[in-house]
Amino acid sequence: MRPTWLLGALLVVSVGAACKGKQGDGKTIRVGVVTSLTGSQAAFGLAHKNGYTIALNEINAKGGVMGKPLEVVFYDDQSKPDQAVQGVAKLIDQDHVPLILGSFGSENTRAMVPAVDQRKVPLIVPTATADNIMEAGSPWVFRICAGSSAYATSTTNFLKDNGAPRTLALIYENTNFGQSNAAAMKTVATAAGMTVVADEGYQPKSPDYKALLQRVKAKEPEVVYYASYLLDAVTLMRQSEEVDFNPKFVTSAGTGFSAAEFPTSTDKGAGKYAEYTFSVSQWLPSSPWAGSKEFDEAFTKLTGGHPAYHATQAYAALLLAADVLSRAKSDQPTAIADALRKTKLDTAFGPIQFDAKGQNAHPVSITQVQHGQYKLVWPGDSAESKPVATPAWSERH
Amino acid sequence: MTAAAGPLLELAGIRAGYGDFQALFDISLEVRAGEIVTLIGANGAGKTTTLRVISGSLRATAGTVRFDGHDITQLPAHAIPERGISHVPEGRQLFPHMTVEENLDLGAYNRRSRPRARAALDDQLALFPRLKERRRQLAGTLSGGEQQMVAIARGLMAAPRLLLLDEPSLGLSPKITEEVFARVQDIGKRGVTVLIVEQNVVDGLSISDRGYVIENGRVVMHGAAAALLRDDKIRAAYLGL
Amino acid sequence: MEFTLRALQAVLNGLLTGSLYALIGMGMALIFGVMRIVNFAHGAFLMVGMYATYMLYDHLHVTPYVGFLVAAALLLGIGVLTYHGLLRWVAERSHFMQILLTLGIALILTGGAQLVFGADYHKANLPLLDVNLHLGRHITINAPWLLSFAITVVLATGMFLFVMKSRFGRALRAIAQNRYAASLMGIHVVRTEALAFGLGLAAVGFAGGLLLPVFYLYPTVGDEFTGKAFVIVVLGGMGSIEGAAVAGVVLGVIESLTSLYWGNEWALTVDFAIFLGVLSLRPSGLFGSQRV
Repeated sequence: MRPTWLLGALLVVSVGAACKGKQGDGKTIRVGVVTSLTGSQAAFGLAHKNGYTIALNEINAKGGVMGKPLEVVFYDDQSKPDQAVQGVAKLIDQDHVPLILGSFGSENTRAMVPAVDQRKVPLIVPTATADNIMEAGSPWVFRICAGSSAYATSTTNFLKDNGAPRTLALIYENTNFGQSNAAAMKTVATAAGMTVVADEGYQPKSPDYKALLQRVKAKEPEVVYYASYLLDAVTLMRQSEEVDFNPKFVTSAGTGFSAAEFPTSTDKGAGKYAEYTFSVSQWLPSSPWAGSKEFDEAFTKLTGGHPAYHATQAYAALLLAADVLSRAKSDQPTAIADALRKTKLDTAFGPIQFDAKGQNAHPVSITQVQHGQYKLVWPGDSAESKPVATPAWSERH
Repeated sequence: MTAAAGPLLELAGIRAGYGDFQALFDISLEVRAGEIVTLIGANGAGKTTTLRVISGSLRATAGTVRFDGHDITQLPAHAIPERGISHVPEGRQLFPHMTVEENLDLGAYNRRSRPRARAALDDQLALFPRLKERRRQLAGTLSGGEQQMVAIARGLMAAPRLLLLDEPSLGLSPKITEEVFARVQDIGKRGVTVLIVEQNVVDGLSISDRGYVIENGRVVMHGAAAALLRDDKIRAAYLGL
Repeated sequence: MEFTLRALQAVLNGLLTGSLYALIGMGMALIFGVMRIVNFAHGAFLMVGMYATYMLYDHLHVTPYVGFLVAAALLLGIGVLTYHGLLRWVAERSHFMQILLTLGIALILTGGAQLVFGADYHKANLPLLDVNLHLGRHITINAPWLLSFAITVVLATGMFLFVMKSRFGRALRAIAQNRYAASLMGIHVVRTEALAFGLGLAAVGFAGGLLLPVFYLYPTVGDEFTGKAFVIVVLGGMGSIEGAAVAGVVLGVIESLTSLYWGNEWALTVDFAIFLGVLSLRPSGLFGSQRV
């Protein structure tokens, strides 16, 4: 009998904790944030949280919003889409926030779209790149980051400028993020005259991708385009060496391949296996926008490491939220959405202005890992370094 | 048969049951060393329950079980074989996916019997020659009679001083039943004390020294086997005569 | 030639992964065989074994190839305690209660790991990971996988012999086949079951330690393995540990070949197709229903 009671008691306690949503006391202005603080995408969720925290401190140091301090209510979606939807419900129905930011990944963010649409509360999307988030056509969704089509376009143009290789393999995780980026790349690259010789989705978080890589290797693609999170990016690169998979260009839709940890040789990164990989990038500490350097410094001071673009996007998203609330002069979702549509804001992440669909036109550049660091290699006019074709594994030592 | 000081097994005022259902109200009986004693009674009278209390599978709510002068009422089932009591349960209860030999070997699992397991196995195979042929066969594939032989032989592997036999003839043909009872008689002749529960009252009593009649969880009559066989009430109730 | 070699490589990879599946599956089969409880916390305990090995590696620089022994010993202890503290009390209750209990244990372990270690993931970057053995031009084997495989073969064989030949193993099988009769043989059922549960967890302790060098580690890492172990137990014939061993290897090879010829995205689908197929066509498992 005892264990039953224990289990029951545990359930009661956790349900009770979940129901205890704080009501606003009117002394602060509150916005909601959904992100992945635990689960497989926690590394990115923590980067988000650090970005939001830096922004929040800045905003409140300058006197907050409408004369009141800004408050962020975080909801951890545990890297699971159903939890992200729960987060929307909880933040709106219990905490009564008039604006939500999040989540990190495309899968979770896509799941949140109908939930905010139904409740008519605006959502600022900082990092999720899948095109179908915007294609849903909700008037309540505003995205500051570039989408998967922009990723595909920049990567294709970069390849055109570098010898115009003809054959392409797509390797992507079987999630909204992976599928959306692979589909976009397939469309854009095919239109540019490339042939897709392999189109391989995979089950994320597996220990073994060697068979997959062998299969792609047999097609001898000149270019491979990955859409992967960090865990799998590391495994894929290590096992590429094992099966001696040698495309000339290892390109990627960012995320795992652009995470701050990826080129490091700590227990998380791929270390030397990350060398020569290309990735799309939306921001680097060296980006030309005012505030980039300051954000890099603030982030380094807080965490001890440089930020990847995901943190900057979160940072910019909260600055945007503060700007919008100030202009709306209201805590009504409708007024806030109207103010969002009229946004014209310069941030460390670049200028933000939404088109009729709620998408911000953000430029996408290409980086390459060179000597363990992300170097901007495309477009040429702002490049820090020249791109280097990926050498065969056997020629590296 | 023997002249031991006290009885080998003695039950005094045993009450027991399953959950809210009380099966035994007042069971008192004794078995002297070297005897074969039969418990007679209708289905559900409490015979099997009595054996379960002795072998520790069911805890008595009142009363005492004494074996060889020691109180064993509170001992758990797994401690009983070591004391010298083997329980051959109703329905054989073999380990179906093990060979005959493995089944027998488990009969001598307890610490007291273990050193003599090898010799005990030879003894049983001599006593039940049929099992010798079948020693590598899975117990679950044997015929009912053979399974009963394995069950009894397994019980004997522990070299018990007291053998509890529950319905050894259940489901067997008359011919096989006869053979089984002949073996039980042999066992008794080797000096093993036997307490047997048997629906087949004539067969049971005819190989026994004494018998107890149980009705609704109480001992209602007891006496020498031959006397019980002649008793009119017994003949009417259990032999349909 | 090239085609055959690729298939051979895929089969090899499948064997390497499958051996770890086998070990994990054998643990679950042992627990299921003896206690008739499906241990839905199996993967969570695997995670505990991985964290134990990782902590030893990270803090004390103990290589996982020694650490896995410590992890197994730890899980043996945890298993015995969990049995006495929790499982023992639901042994005679409904399957629903047992499922609820093991799921609850899994939630507590995963949640606890998140609290203690954080949700972020870790990896033990051993120098050995960079070593690849080449057989001819086309066949490559990563050294840690090969080492894990060799150790797993020894452990699985040892576990099989222990259960089939030793006195304790015979007692385990007796309980699995007839609990009541086992107690009449003088077998201490509670103590033996506790050890059986401990042994089942020790198997995932071993597996966790050996998985660490070739995988990464985060609190929910075990979830997928619970599902795989369950598939393996069904495939191997509910509760047969040698069946589970074979089924684990078969599953590894099937996944690898599926991945090579059909695409990695189908691997999990194929797992569950096999699972449903076996349940509906041959519910006693591919290798008969012999219990432990």
